[in-house]
Amino acid sequence: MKQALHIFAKDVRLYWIEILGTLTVTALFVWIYPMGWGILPKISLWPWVPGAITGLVPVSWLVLITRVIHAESLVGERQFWITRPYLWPQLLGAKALFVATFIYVPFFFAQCLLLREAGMHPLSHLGGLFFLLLLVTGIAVLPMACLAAVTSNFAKTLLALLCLILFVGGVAYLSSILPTSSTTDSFSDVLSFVVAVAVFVAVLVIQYARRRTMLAWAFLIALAVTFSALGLFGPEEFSMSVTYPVSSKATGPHLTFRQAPADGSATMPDSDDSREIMVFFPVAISGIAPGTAVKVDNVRAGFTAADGVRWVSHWQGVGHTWLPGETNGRVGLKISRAFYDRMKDKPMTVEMSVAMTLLKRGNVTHLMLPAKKFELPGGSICRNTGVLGGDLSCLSPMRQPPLMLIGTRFTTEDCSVVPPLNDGDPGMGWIGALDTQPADFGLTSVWESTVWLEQLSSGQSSARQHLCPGSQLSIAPYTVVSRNQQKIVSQPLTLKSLVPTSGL
Amino acid sequence: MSAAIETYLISKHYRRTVALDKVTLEIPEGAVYALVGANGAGKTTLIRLLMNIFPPSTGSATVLGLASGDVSGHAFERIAYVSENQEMPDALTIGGLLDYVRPFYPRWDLELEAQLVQQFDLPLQRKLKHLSRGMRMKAALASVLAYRPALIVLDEPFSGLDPLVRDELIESLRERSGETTIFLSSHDMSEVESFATHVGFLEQGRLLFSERLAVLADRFREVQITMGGTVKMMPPHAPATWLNPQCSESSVRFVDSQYTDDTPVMLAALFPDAVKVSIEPMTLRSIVVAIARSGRTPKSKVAGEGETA
Repeated sequence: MKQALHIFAKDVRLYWIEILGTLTVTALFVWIYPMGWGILPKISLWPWVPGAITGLVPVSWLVLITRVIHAESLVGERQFWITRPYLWPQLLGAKALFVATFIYVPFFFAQCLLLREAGMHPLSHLGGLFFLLLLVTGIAVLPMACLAAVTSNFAKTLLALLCLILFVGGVAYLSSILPTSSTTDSFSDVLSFVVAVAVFVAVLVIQYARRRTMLAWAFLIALAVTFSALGLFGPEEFSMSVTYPVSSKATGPHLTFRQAPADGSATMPDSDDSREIMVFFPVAISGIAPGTAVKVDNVRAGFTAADGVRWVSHWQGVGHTWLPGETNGRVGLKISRAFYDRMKDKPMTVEMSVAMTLLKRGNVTHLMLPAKKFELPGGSICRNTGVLGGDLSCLSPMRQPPLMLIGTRFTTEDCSVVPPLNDGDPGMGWIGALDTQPADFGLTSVWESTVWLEQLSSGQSSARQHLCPGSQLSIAPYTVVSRNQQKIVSQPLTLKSLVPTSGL
Repeated sequence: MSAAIETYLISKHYRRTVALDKVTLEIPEGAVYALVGANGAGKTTLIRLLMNIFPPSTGSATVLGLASGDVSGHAFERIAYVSENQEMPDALTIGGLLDYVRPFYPRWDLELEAQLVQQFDLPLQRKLKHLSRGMRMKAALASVLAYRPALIVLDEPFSGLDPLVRDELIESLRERSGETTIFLSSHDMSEVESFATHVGFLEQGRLLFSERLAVLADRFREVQITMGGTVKMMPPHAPATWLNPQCSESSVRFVDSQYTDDTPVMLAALFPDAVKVSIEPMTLRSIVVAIARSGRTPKSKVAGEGETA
């Protein structure tokens, strides 16, 4: 420990300018970032400034981490320190102490200040703050440290970073030209994080203990290639079956195909890939018990024509939520345009796998919408924006708020009458996410979200009505009961019937 | 006397390039061992293997009784390494460097440090990046001599230095000889001849000889024989230890690599018509040049073998 402190003290003396730079950027971030909160940010002249300052934070970290690691460069054969009585755990400890002191501690206090600025108490979110530090370690600090550990100077670190960016760009391009797969599941996310952290730690230990740069590079390249390959061609079925086990229960919510033509008036969603086309399956849902809801997260479909031709899609993210009483809906899926063009008129059967989450409603809270701030269950602080496009603007501590359904009744006239008339249509909107981890990864501990309350129009008027202070809000939290996967099979149909007619 | 450094058939390959080829070597404690050879002969490679900067491809080595692979951490409290092209912490001043490295060494001698600073006339407030090559080398040397290491390893320490600085460094090393083992590499034979006790010669990765300098100097002689008549070739029974024979009209020249007191008798027998025989001692440089030109490896001896340093 004595040696680690001695090296640490030397690094502080040598890199005080870089330290000062990092602290300055962090201070600016804390000062300016909250100005961008809300529908109408306080910075209107240079709206890009909060984003730019946020971007500077990781850049300042990269500079600081690279400089301090390169003070005892691990690459090469000419460094003076490698023939001095350095003990590698002490050296690694000194660098870790430096990062903790000048990145983690300022970052931690910055997050506390942001929480205070948002009207929240930092001590109430200590668990989330430490979890955020863990995420920052795995996703930002360790990769930066690894890049510095396998390069000999800052220019080479930047070159390695450029190569990494090009590689990621190449993988993204490949992903765009391959059939779409857009699922996310917690099992894959956690596994990826753990594996990546393990590899990063191994790389640092290899370098500090043995200075085996080629081996360390091999580990990093293998990690990047493996993750890319799994992302592009990986066995998504396995991770989906872990997160969404196949259900054999006859009870509970159940989806079936509806034998109904697609709604010809529907608009065709913009396609980001001309080689794909969106088809919509009319589905019927049954068995949603009162006090529950069903969220369809991902779907995949296999198409089998009468002549035996078969095409199977990847898993694709969806995100529909059905409440009790809703019986009909549509599930959209992108399929190969070439397959569509070839087979659109031929009868075929569709076997669809649906990964869905059964939700349970918690205690409903009722409150009167105040003119200023109000707090949602879970600690989010919201305000009525009075702006069309986003009725409620919320700041949430550490992560998106827990999933909630917010209901209200609009007022037809403006909000000049107090109390409001509440004579308009009912409104409803979802906010939040189902994740249960203590914090989401990001440079900020305060997350913004906007609730758009859908106007459940009675059909008489489609004019946007008003959400006025004094209106009643009902807030219903939803939690996960179970996740499962159902398979549904259609009667023979044609692909053509699944595409909105106005879209082609 | 035990060996400070021992290598056994140690080799280093870079793909198809052989940088060091089966070098076996023993350096006794207290020796001042000069490893000489042309640039690219493998001197730096051998030193870096010994300092565990990289591992050997084959073979083994021990340094102060430690396997070369274990030379790290605390081992460097007894071993000093200075190289001409070492990357120093340039942002530090000389004083900062000494302050920084001092706590790493339990046996750091503050008085000796002050003495070295004075002896080398080191400007303590000047940053390393602003120092001349000679001053950098002196600062590096001061930072290793002050902890009285048992072994000092120097890779081309005098390369590119002006004669004054070189003499200063040699003098400071000479003062430490006896209390410590010094192992240095150089491509300039003349600069090490004055103070080395042992010498080894590397050529293209192979160790052509390694022995005490005094013994080497004793057994090499440059022989010139002036004949009464014309000489066309060497006598058929000339020993193989006579290197680089040259016959001109009336004289014969060669280097005897195994000179003994019996050599004049042998010369008289083989050259009965000789009118004049000149037998001169040789400098290290001329010995090395003779060996290199001969393309032969004289019977290689391991330093310390049957002798004391």
